[in-house]
Amino acid sequence: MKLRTKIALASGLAVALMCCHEPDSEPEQDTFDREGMLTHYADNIIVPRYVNFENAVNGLNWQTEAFIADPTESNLAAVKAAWKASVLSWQRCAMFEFGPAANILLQTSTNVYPADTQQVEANIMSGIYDFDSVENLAAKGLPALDYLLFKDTPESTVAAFNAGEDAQQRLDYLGAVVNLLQTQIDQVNEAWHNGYRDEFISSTGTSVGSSLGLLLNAMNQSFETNTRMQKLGLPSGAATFSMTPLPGHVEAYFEGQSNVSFIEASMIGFEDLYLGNTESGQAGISLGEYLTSLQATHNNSMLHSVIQSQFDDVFTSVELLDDPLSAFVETDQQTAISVYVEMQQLVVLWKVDMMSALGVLITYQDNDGD
Amino acid sequence: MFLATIRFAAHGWIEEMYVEPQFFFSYFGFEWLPRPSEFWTYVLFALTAISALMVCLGFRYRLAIVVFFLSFTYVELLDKANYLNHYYFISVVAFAMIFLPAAENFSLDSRRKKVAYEKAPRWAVLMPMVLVGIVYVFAGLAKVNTDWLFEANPLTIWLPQHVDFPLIGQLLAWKPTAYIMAWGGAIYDLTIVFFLAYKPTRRVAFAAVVVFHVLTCALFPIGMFPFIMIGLTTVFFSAHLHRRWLGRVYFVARDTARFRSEEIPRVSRIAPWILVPFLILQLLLPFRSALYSSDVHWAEEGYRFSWRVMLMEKAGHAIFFVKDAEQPGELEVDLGDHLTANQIKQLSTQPDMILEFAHHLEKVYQARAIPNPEVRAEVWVTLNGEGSKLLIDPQLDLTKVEVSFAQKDWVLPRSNQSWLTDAK
Repeated sequence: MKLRTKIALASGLAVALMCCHEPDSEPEQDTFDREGMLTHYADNIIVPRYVNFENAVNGLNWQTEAFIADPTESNLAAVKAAWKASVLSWQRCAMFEFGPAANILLQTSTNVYPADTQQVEANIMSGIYDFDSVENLAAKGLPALDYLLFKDTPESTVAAFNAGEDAQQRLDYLGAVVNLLQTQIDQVNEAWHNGYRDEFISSTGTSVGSSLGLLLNAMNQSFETNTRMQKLGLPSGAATFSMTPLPGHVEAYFEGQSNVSFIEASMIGFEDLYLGNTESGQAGISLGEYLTSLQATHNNSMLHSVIQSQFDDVFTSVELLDDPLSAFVETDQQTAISVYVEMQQLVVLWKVDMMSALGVLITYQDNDGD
Repeated sequence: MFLATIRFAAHGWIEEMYVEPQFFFSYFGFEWLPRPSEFWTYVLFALTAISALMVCLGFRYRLAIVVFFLSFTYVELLDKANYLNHYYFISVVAFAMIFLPAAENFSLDSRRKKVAYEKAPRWAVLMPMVLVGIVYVFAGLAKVNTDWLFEANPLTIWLPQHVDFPLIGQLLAWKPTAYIMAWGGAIYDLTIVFFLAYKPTRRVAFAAVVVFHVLTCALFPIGMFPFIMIGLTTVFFSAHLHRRWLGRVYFVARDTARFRSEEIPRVSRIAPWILVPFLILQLLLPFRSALYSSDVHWAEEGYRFSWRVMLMEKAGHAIFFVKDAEQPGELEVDLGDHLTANQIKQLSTQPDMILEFAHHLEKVYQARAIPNPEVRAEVWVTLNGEGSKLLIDPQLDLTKVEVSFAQKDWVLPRSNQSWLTDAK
């Protein structure tokens, strides 16, 4: 009896020593490599996307400076092209609002819309503005540029920047908004290059503070709110009392020619993330593979293929949209709403089925397994 | 419990769970419970911590245990979203302890009263063992269901997530392990109490208890519960053993040794009148779910207070819509405007909370000048890895449904076919 007791207690103690210990990962060949996935995501997806966005913003900055020095129509066109490239690039970065991005509220300084045009004009007139203050929440970033660059015809815009009232202040504001974009992305990029990347890769658990938890919660939040609700839900009037479309809520409302491209870019950004595709289009270890290795199912099909097929459905419905979206939501509201509905279904698959299969928690509290 | 309360506070959970929320999910029959202000909430927690320490040291025991029971239970009754089986267990044990002569020896009270009783009434010694037994046996009975035993769910979902656990990680990802642990867990729960009670098997049983709880602590985020259970299991050991251990460790023991008395401490005469019905209630309550014909894991009718611990993997996403009869559309409610993340998570899988929240929304929108708001909810739930489907009737106006213990016929059966991919 005594020996057995000792063995039992000893093994109990051994397990006790491992309790709540941060596990090393030395995975075998045939099981899923979570650390590998985080590494792939950090090195081949997240950081490159941020770098690309920084490059786009650099280009935007450069063109803006040229325009400020010499406000002509051709320079304006160059700024507009650089702006569009930045917005497209941002679509692939919006889902990473955790870590350094969350610390400086990158989303807030980059893409809050609809732009508060009155505030923008007030800022220009007064020449005094603090981008951190709450009243300027929607008076900066890419949407503010959308307003400044596209609200009038090219001739009128150039005229306003050249000889209109507060022309110099207008130019200054343009520069200040672009500068803010630049400093923010520089900061985030630098954080990732100087330590956060290692921190991200080393946290391989599935609890809330773990990298997988941060990444997935941010991804879900971004998809549900930024893409589904803001790009389609609100503009189409789908989820409001009056059911009236809100054309003014469309992303890139003033530009009006790339609304659908931006939605597509966002969806592709999410799909590439889910499939582990790199910026150069190569596949890699991914969430989808992880789900497959866990044999996650959805009503007798593999969850991974159900998610992929839902992506296809979203893309098919997006193809029915037309620019300018602000007009489309009024003339063909039902189609716009149908895109929203397809996106909603993807939200459920991710937030419910995927999170449950991966065991990623949403909160820090103790759990009863319910 | 003193340590548990400190830990709770250190994690910032008092703030997150009791100060921040604008709305609490009240327990049926306790809606009148006044919600304390931020200051009084902290006072309440301080009371819990201090009284727990006092109970532990045996200082003014009767006062301390009553204060502990009331303050702790009060906090727990405030919000259903914070229900955890082990919090319920602590309330149950604390209640019973009010009537037990638990501080008559090895305590500061003994030193003060200059009496240290060596003997206790037999039923008082048995009571904690019975309570622990109730938890284990019912938890074991809860595991006797097809999901747990024949599908090894949710272990087949949870264990492979720990593939990088040291030493046994690979084993955890292997399918048969889930079955072994499922059956092993059920057998352990159902029988451990008897092995603990039977003297020859006691030591091995205790070792098994330690191993079991330490393992669950390492694998699952269940906080203090394993350690509470390990600590409580010591009640099965004989008085002789306790005397030896406490005598070695507890300085007060040396002091109280000189007051030894061979009499049995007097116990309040009303104790049996209260404890017997209490015990009967404890034995009957877990069977509540049998009164409903719905699948208890799906509809959760009678799920609470039945020792269903770590029994299922369930996740959900609830979308609430408010309709103003005079306008064509519906508003999709942003839950974050009304609830904390933890509340949203709990709400998404529990029909009674869904109903209560719908009524709350009704009041919120009435205050916003919409005279007759209708509230419906699309609630997508996955249970033990089945594909997400609807939990309740998505078209039903929940404001017309009364909150009661009656069977909820608006909860769809678990076998419903509303798979996401069909719902287009």
